[in-house]
Amino acid sequence: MAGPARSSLAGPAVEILARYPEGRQRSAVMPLLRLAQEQDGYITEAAVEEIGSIIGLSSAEVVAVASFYTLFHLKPKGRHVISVCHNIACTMAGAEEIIEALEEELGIGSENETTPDGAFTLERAECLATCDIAPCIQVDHDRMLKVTPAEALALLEELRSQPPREGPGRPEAHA
Amino acid sequence: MEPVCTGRYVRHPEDSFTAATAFADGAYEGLRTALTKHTPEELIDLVKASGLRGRGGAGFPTGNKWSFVPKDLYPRYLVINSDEAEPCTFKDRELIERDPHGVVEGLLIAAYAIQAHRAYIYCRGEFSLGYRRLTQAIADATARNCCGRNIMGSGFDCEVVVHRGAGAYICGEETALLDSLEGFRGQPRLRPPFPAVKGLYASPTVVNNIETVASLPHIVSKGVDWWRSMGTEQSPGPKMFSISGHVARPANYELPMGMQLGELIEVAGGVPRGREFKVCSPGGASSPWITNLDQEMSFEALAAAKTMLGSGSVVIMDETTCVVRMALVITRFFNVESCGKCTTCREGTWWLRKVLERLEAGEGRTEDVDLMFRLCEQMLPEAGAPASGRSFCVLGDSCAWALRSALRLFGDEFREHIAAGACPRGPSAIFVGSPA
Repeated sequence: MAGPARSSLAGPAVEILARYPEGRQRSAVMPLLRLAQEQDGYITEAAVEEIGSIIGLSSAEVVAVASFYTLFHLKPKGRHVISVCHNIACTMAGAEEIIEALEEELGIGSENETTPDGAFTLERAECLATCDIAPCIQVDHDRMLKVTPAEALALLEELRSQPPREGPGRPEAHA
Repeated sequence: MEPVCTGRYVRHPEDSFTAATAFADGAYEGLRTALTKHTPEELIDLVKASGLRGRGGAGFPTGNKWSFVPKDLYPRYLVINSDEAEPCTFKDRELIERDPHGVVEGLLIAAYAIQAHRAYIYCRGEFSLGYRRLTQAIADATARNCCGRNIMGSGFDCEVVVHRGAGAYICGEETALLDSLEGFRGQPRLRPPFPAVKGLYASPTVVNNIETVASLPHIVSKGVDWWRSMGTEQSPGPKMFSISGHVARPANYELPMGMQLGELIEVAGGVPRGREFKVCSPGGASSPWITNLDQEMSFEALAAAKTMLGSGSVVIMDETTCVVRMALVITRFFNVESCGKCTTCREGTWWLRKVLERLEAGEGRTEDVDLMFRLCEQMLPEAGAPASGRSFCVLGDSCAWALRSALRLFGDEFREHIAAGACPRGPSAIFVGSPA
């Protein structure tokens, strides 16, 4: 498959596989999918094949797992993923008003849509377990709490003004 | 009441999660007592005697759960459910972020009691900070010989691994969690066999909740009588209540079980803006709603009221709340999270959502209230049947429980909605701004 050069998962896979008992390497499928996505921004066909060969699964079996979980993406996402919680407490605190403001500003819908320039993906999230400081937005891997529509729009400006990151991935901070 | 599970971060709000602070605050002393003064059997008896009930939702007695592990069958696994995703529950997230050492200490006590040499923490995928704090805590505890091999020189080994989820509410169901941990799609398993006999990798497995294990160091250190001095006879001890919605100070409150709903609302600052209380979802999105402020908040009293304490998430809705919108938000959640394995849940939640969306769009039909009620009844068990309904697991039941209670309590409000072709309270009835 043609695509950007990607770094091999084989090295880090050694440590990941060691977390599970002998013969239970299938348990490593989720951590490896997460790692691949952090490197490439989404789960590429090449990553699916490599994960399959590391743990002895067919590509279909790897995709079957990846497609079940909402945090795994089989297609590219925007450079920034904005997830607005629309569950109980956030709805009560105005989540739909935030979603409306973001939809209007970005010109896209909130059901996992990406802006044509690839800058932002907007999605709705189920409860993010921060109902004490609702409404909650998750921006890439970070939480923003008690957000107003105006603050959500200001966030877009801030993200737009940041220099683009190196590489396609969206790695988490490692504290 | 002195704070218990929340104590470390009440005492050290800034840096309770660091090894330096946690160790200075007495972290792992409960584990030391467990390892040096008790046999595994004695610990199981101690926790049985304490009456500790699981804090994940089902309220099953923890000591009994441990005792179901068959004798002489190894290896055994301890799996900690940190996949907290029940709407409006945010206590486990707070515990792993703010007192990860308390969690690690507690789970090692559980591992010793059931003689598991490997423990997995299944951590919700979205919990980025909690994951980092837990892995750091495990590393720091291991470096101080409080985790890993020959813990505190006791001869007991236990390796702790954090396994991250990736966005699936169903993985909070313990058998779906085990499938997910084994590297499959997270769908529930048929029981029996129960996990205690055949769980992770077909080995005896105990699955415990984060708050449950965080309670253990305190029970071991301070004893059964102290624990039982709080709460009720059948729900002893303190419990973290995640109180949210229309209260002045939404937060986690650690309180003795058995207080009244009205008292909980007062603890959280009351209903703001001089508004009247309308209804409460007392134990997660799954729980049937209640309206009586003198309701006792304990496992047994809420079960008697045909609802549940669940995970202890209490959502307060004031008089401005549109129940149709709330019902839609809850039903949509269960529909989105239905794993698709069984027809009842996959189709039932989808149809209920469709009908509610029709109401919200002003296209409700007069027969819709009865239609939804009938659909809920079809998903739930027949009268007199055992607890579980017609879905493979409790997710489908949960959707029907919550919606049926809303229809029972507020059927007229649904009908007004249908007759008006819109929310009679106005388009923004639910948007009251942030509650504080």
